[in-house]
Amino acid sequence: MSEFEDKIRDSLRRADSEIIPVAPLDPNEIASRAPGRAPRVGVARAWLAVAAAIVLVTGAGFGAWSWLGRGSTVPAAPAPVPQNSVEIDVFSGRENPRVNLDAAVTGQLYAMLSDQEAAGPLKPAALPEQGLGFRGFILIPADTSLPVLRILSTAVYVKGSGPYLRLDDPNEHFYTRVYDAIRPLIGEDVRGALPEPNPKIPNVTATIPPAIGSTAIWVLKNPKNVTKTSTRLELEVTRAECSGGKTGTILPPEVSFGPSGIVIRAAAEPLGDGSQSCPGNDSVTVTVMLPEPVGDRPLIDAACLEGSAVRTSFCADGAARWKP
Amino acid sequence: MVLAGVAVTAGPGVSFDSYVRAWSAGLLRLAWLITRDWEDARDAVQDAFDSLYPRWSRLPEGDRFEPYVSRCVVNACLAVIRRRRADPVPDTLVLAEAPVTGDAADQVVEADRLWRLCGQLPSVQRAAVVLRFYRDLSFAEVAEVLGCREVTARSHLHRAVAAMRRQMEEANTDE
Repeated sequence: MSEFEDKIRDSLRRADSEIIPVAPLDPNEIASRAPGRAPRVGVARAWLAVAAAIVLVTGAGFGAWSWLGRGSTVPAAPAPVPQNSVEIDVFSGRENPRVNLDAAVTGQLYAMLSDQEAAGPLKPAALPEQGLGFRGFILIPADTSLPVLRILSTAVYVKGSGPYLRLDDPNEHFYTRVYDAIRPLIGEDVRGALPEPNPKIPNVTATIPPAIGSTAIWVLKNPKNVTKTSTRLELEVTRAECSGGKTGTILPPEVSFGPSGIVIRAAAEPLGDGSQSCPGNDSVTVTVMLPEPVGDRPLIDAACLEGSAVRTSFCADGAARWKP
Repeated sequence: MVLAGVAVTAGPGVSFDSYVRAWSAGLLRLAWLITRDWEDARDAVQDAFDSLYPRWSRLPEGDRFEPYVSRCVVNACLAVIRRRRADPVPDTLVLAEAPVTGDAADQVVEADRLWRLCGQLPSVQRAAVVLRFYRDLSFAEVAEVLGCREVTARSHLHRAVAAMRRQMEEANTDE
């Protein structure tokens, strides 16, 4: 750990000497407020007694006595293990289908949400008009401390205690993950009512870790080969920071389509601890498959729009790497 | 795993009552470091215990128990921060004095500055920093608590430390 990191640790450790100015937590209060099993058992037994009394009054006889005796000694059924579930909000006039969602996929979605939150705040927004047809996947997490999500094709709405918060998801990362996970679990009629997800964007022929990391800049490998009809781009990606001459692993580029440009952000896998020498880093070729042709839009390197590389020589000629 | 310098041996074998009484103060400090507000920290830890209580007997055992509880608390902190939608909160903290050596005044100023810079980080990065440097967790353990891949946790920490370092250097240059 570096000296600077030691200083961070020391600054945080001083919190240990802070006097806690709020009331301590009371386990009895938590237990009494939570929907625990003990109160439920009591309620169940009360209903059982009422049912038994009715049977007795109607003359069910000895059999009822036996039933009552058995019932009173049957242990309460164990509470079901909470599951992450997805309600597919698609039908009107009949119940929406609901399926369980794999815990790993759920964790991935909330991790993505956290990543997005780290990049910038979610924006308060009203839900879109709730018309006929698909109105979203409603993800209800087993962990009640997590917010409920309504996942549409290109946006995610986060349900907190206040208004919804909206996260734009133009590349359908959230929708596609849920769709792929629940597809085998739903019937043909439901599947037919769902929007088809876009092809996975980007389709990168490189090792694909999560789409965040250290700044990297890119140029087109063969800019002369790019035309308005191109859907396949070959990028030469270079890590911006000192890295001993090696760019290393490239994370999956993020692609954002706009009417006036296609913005591509490439990033490199974060380096571990330790200082690095600073010769120029090599470049790594990454292939990006676009779901639609380039058209009349310039190809723009996001690293030259914001961040640490903007004022470097990498971006001296501007952010556009190709213009029609 | 180590909690505030003491090896944790608690698990589902420990009663809910005992665990809350023994460990809630440590979890409150953890939550406070992330939320930077004591009331929010208490809300977060209470929310976490509210969700844990009904399934206490079914929680993971052994080494997985503590990360599970921590994860619930961290998630609850992030949820509280999302709800309040003003992050970071204004930092009015006056840190308790800690023993320092050497040029004491400079060290205290530096520690205060780092404290505030940490408070200005995006909440997930701040949580990663707190878990790594306050709780002394490994990258893998930070990832487990944050519920992300190790490379993601490393990225959060790398960005956070780089941002703090840059701002410290800028502040030193300004002086």
